[in-house]
Amino acid sequence: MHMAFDEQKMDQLLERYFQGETSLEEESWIRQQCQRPDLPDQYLPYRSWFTVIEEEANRSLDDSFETELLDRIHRQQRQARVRRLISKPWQVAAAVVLALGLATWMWTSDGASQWTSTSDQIDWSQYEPDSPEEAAQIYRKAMLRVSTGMNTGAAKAANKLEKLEEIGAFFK
Amino acid sequence: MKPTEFTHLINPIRDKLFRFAQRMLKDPAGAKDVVQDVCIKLWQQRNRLDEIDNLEAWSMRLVRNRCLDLLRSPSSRMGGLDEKPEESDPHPSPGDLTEQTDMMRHLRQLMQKLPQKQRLVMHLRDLEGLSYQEIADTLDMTMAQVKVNIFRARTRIRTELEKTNAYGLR
Amino acid sequence: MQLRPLSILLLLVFAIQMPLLAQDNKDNINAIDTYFKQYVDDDRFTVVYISGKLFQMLGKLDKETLNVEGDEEAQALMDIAADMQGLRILTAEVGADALYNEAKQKIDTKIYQQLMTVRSRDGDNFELLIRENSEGKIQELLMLGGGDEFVLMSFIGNLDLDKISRLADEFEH
Repeated sequence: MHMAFDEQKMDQLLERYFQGETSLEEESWIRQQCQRPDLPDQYLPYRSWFTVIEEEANRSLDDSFETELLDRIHRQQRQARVRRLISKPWQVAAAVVLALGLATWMWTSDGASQWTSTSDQIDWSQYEPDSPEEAAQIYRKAMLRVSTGMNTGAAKAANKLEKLEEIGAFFK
Repeated sequence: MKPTEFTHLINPIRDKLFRFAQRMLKDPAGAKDVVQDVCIKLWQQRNRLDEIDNLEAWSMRLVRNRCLDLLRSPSSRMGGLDEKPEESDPHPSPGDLTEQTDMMRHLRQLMQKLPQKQRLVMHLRDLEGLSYQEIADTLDMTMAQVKVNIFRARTRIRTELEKTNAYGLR
Repeated sequence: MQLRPLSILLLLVFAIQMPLLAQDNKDNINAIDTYFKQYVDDDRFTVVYISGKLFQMLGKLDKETLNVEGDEEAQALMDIAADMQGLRILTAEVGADALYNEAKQKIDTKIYQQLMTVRSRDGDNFELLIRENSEGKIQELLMLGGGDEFVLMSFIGNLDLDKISRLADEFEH
């Protein structure tokens, strides 16, 4: 910025810029020069242009992006674990047959037992596993966690056993 | 790979992906979704990420493909010529302390109205500082096409700038 | 057979005069419903529900499909399943400690009696609570866990705590 403004170089480079023939360094030079306070008036439009570019180049995502992305990733992970639950093909076949039967049954019968909540409450049926086999797996792990916890205390239970989060996730 | 390790990998490039998506779609909300979608896709490929030479370039292509899909879809409401530049800018740069002149607004709109190829080449060169070869790779063009498009785009801008000079500054 | 802490606790529970709520069963909303209502659309939570009917179907499954280690374990599980009316599980990996503390506050201690609390130094917390019906029988067991993972489980049915506690021994084989 100590050097006097080089009009000749500016004109040359601008010409080449608009021809698409400048290198990245040259373009950088033009941009810098345009920010000089002693920039001659006839170049002010170009300063406007490069300022627009600068502003556009600084657009960014806000911090919520990362949180939301992590949430989505966690959801993905849960989905993946559910898929791993049923690992044997014959189980899948059996599960499908049973699920169809069960689905019909559930739709036609009154699901509310005397223990469950009143009508304006949550619809829990959307969170059910697809088959009795899956339910059995989940139930077993839940019982394991509770009974071990009862007898050996929380810390040991948590260390010994896999996270309950892994046992299933069903989508709303 | 843990999710937080993954996001650290992504963070340096995500703004670039966002700007590119926004340039393609002309819609900032849609652009954010596109970047999310692309990041999820990358997450699903996380075990193979070290096979990719240039994560940034790869991601840009994913963004481009996703945007193209969206633009092609019949339900797409985008592609409109009227844009709202000021509202869609969540993080104005420090230089924005100077007053938004009509001129700058006009130039911004001008850029958005350029035909897609010209607009994107200009974006990648003038905003993101990519080499012509990198631009060609990202946009699936030949070098010749890149040069033609940058020339046309800049000429359009030049015409506008010189118009101003001829009639005095606004 | 060693004297389990649980047996002592059970004795204490029954020894102390607890004000039992003689409510009509229909009005009983389990703890999870009330707690979860605010989080229904919150994707941090993994939710599972196994209804009484599903438990019945489960009880009819071939033991092999349960993927269990031994006959005794399978039998013990089936036994308990026969009494189950519903199991609701809520877990979350994000913000486990905060959720644990909040849940703890929200559980009405007039309705739920603490059976057991374990707090460990590394933050793994574990609590068991029970709800009894007017006849003094346990109708709901709540498990609350914190630490790495937030867990809230509600077992509803005619529960026999002793059966459940013995299950742990079967698992260990």
